[in-house]
Amino acid sequence: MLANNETGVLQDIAALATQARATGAWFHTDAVQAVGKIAVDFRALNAAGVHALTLSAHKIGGPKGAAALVLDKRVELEPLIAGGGHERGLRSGTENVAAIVGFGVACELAVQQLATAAPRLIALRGLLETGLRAMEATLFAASAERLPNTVYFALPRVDGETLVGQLDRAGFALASGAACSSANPEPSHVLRAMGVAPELARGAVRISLGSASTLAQVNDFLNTLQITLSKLQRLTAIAV
Amino acid sequence: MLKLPIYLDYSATTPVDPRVAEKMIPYLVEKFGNPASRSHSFGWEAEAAVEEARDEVAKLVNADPKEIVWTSGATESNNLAIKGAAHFYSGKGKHVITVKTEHKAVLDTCRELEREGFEVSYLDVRDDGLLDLDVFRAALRPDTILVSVMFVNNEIGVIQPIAEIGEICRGKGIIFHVDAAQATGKVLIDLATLKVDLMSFCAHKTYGPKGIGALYIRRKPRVRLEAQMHGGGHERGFRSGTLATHQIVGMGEAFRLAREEMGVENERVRMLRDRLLKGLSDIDQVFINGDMEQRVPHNLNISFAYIEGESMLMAIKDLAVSSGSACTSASLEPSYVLRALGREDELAHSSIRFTLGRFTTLEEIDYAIKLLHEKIGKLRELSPLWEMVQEGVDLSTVQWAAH
Ligand SMILES: Cc1ncc(COP(=O)(O)O)c(C=O)c1O
Repeated sequence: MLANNETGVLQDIAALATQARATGAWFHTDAVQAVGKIAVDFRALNAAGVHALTLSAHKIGGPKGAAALVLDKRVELEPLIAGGGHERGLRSGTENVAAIVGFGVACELAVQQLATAAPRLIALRGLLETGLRAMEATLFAASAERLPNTVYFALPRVDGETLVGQLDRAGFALASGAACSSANPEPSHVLRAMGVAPELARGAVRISLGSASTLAQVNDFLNTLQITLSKLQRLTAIAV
Repeated sequence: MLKLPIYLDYSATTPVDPRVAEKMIPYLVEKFGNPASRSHSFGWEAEAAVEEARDEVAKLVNADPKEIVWTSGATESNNLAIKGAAHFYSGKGKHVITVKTEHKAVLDTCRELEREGFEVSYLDVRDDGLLDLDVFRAALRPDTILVSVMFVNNEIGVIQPIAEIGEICRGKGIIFHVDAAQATGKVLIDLATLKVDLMSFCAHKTYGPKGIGALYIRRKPRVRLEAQMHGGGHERGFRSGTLATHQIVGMGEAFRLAREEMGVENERVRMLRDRLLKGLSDIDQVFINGDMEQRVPHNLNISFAYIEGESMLMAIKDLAVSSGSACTSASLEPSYVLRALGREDELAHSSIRFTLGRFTTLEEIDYAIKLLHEKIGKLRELSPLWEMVQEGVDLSTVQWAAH
């Protein structure tokens, strides 16, 4: 994947694809989290050896239920959904016209906003990270190149699920993992693969910002987090 | 005032009912949460909406909401049902039965199974478009694992004997799949009594949005499937991927309206369809395709002999109708459905499908009747064949010069 959905870490896809090309392998990248947040240039990636790239509408302000596969013309695929031959036989079924129109407009807006959105998000993220460090948070993958909108952290001796629940009641919607696996109480497989200890991984909380996020919200959040944290730590102290 | 062109192609797709659209919009803008997000109220709100819609879909067909799995449409539902069941039960046998007049979403999927080593029987229909139960019984084999027969045909609107086929399949332990894309809101579907194991639905033929559908998967007796789309384990592992909340809400509302209004609506549509049929019946040499009794009230499929379907479509541009189905109307091949009824190519070529719906008016039907009379007269005047027929020549005896 180009940008990881939990950590926001950016892989050097062009470099990896160049390596893969040396062996003759096809190269696909899931760019769902990257598109709209950083510049993604399929032509350049394609020249480096990337053959296919996935993007999705609902991560860039478009509707859920529409997505696209950008495909090198030379690649032949076996379709997964047969019947009618829509999309040059690669994906049959009546098109979700409204969602696709929305997807198109979302892409247009994303392109327009790309240059201004990223610096603003990076500034907000910087504030969040400074605040979190002051609370002795571990910031995952902080030294890696990351998406401008994602902060992934854990606070010492605080369970991620519990913290997210408390923050929800205080008016902040965050995740303790990816939405697609939220039903799963296991610590994040991404953090485990990065060698993070399970105790620490259980504390993981993801903040992902968007174009509607403001400076006031970030400050508010840090205050609320500080209060919630003191409360949780007092409770832990009593329990011990 | 009559607004042109007049839409008479409700089987290709329907408009979204304004009541449905209104219910969808908040789920795009304010209530935008991911129904799989378990950690905050945005997610819970979306999940509650998804479950309410699931209830509505289940209610229309008298099923348990736990038996409904969301998909992107009937095509995906058909793929999941047919490939999913064939793959899961392939240890028991590799023979599948379907019908020549099925939608491409079923036929192309079956072709795919053939490439994988399954054997598929494509059954003929009678000249009224219905499957003969004796033909069906004779096709069953000890290694038959799956049968797929559509509820309502998309081109000619005939209703297949689903209850009877279900009885036969259940008696032999064969999985029975039904493509009901054209049936919801048009015929009563009672899955508590029908012995159907898998049933495909989509929203956009029943005044919901395009791009959303569902598959009914029976729990008692339990039917197993191999998932076709992986990643995340949504929908109890049957179909992964972020649920499109607004689409699902739209399908739920569309199916709720269908349940509440289909009784009255179908009688109104039947009256309009019968008026159209009556209005055209004084035209010479018109032939109705498909049985008129076992048929949904929305559909009229007629061949106008000695007129070529494509020139007809051009002459009646004020009417949005189709010759063949939307999926194949890009090709000039005569409809494979009409050919399966034994219609010769000429008549298959000259067929027009009129499909009426919720927003069709009396005025529109009367306009259509008048327009068709005018244009058919003109087109036939231009037809040398028609001239010969008028002069009493029997065309089947004519020796055509080779070119
Ligand atoms: C009988 C039947 N099955 C399946 C479909 C496919 O539905 P969709 O294109 O929405 O997947 C249609 C309509 O196109 C249909 O009429």
